[in-house]
Amino acid sequence: MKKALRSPIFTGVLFLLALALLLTGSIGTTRAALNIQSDTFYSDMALTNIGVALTENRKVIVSRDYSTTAANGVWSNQATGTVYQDYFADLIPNMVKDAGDKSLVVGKKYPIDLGVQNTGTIDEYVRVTIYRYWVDTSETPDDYGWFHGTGTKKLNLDPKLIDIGLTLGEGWTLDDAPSESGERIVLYYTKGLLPSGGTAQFADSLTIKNDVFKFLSPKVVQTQNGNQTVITYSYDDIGFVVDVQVDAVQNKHADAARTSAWGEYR
Amino acid sequence: MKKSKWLLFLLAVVLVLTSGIGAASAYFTTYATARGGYVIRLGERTEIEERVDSGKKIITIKNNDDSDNPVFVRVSAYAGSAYPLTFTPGDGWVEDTGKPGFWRYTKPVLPGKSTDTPLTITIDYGSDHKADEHFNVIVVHESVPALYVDDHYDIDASWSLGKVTVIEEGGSQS
Repeated sequence: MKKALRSPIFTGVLFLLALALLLTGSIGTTRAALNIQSDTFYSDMALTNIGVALTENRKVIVSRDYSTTAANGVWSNQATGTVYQDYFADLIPNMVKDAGDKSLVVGKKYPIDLGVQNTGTIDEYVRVTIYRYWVDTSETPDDYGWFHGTGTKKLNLDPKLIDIGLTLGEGWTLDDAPSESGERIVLYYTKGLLPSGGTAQFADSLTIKNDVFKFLSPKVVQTQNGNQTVITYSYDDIGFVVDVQVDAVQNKHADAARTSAWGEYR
Repeated sequence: MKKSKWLLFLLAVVLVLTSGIGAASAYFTTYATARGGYVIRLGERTEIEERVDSGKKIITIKNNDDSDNPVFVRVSAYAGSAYPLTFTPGDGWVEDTGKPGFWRYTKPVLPGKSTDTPLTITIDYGSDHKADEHFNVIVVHESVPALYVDDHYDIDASWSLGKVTVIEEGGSQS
């Protein structure tokens, strides 16, 4: 055995083996993998946003949308593109002018057309709250008597003399528990409103009732030629205001959402 | 040991209090508002515009521009039985069947305007009238706010429902 280990043949065999190991030791493992690449696909992920608008004569006069294009929760005036943090749009500013009158005619039924539009991207439920009241204003009205509705509310004057023609049906239903004074009217739209969808009109006319002439205080005054009766009306030089607020709530989990936002739903 | 008991007690209290808190829910809501109105001016002031011409009073009524409302007017006059009066109506004046002795103007008189035509009152002095004899003619005119009913100013509704303003004017003549 010793003799064989010392033989040059064995030494040569070992040398060749070492050489083979050195040469093959640097060969790595071969890896195979399927490699395929598709075309590039793009996708947009838009977050849902809610928005609602009040329309007059089928045109949006004010909307408040939560969207990516505007700061959340701002009101936008569609006519001017101006945005506001706190905003009342002008309501019925051309009602008298469009009827061809120089000033409001008491007793005349003026046509108006008020509705609601979904300006968001999700389905929603809407309701409308109308406030009507009289104010003593320091505003200077325009040539037709229109003003922005600021002033001190006259609680002794009857809101029901501001007669708003409601168009119920076609989705709109009246809250059966209106305010005692008649100042507040609440309407619910019973159908869901799809994005970009609009409701039927909820009001089609406005009339100041002739009963305003009944509230007066006559006074007899002496003149050079005789007596004159001077009548002062309680509603003289007083402004009536119509204030409309439209509320919207998501239609997902509608019952819970409506109850959360509006209280117990009727 | 005492301290650890207190800690356990506090932990128990916190757990009891927080166990009643439900899940918070948030919903998408929004709203928008608009507002506007009109100032109305009521109250009327009418006055007689009178012209005397050889025994005649030529009367028109003016609605002063104190309000935005038209008015309806009617007129009568008295002078005593010794001086009978004759009324000659212009276009638009008719005898008031509801109030004898009065003449109605059937069109609404707009603010700042007068009746388009006059009511002429002729005074019959009689043949034995003396030049220095004075007599008194009292003209009464009434006005009422013109009420807009349906699609027009309704004269009958105005006189029956509206508050009537009465103005008397007397004048002595010779």
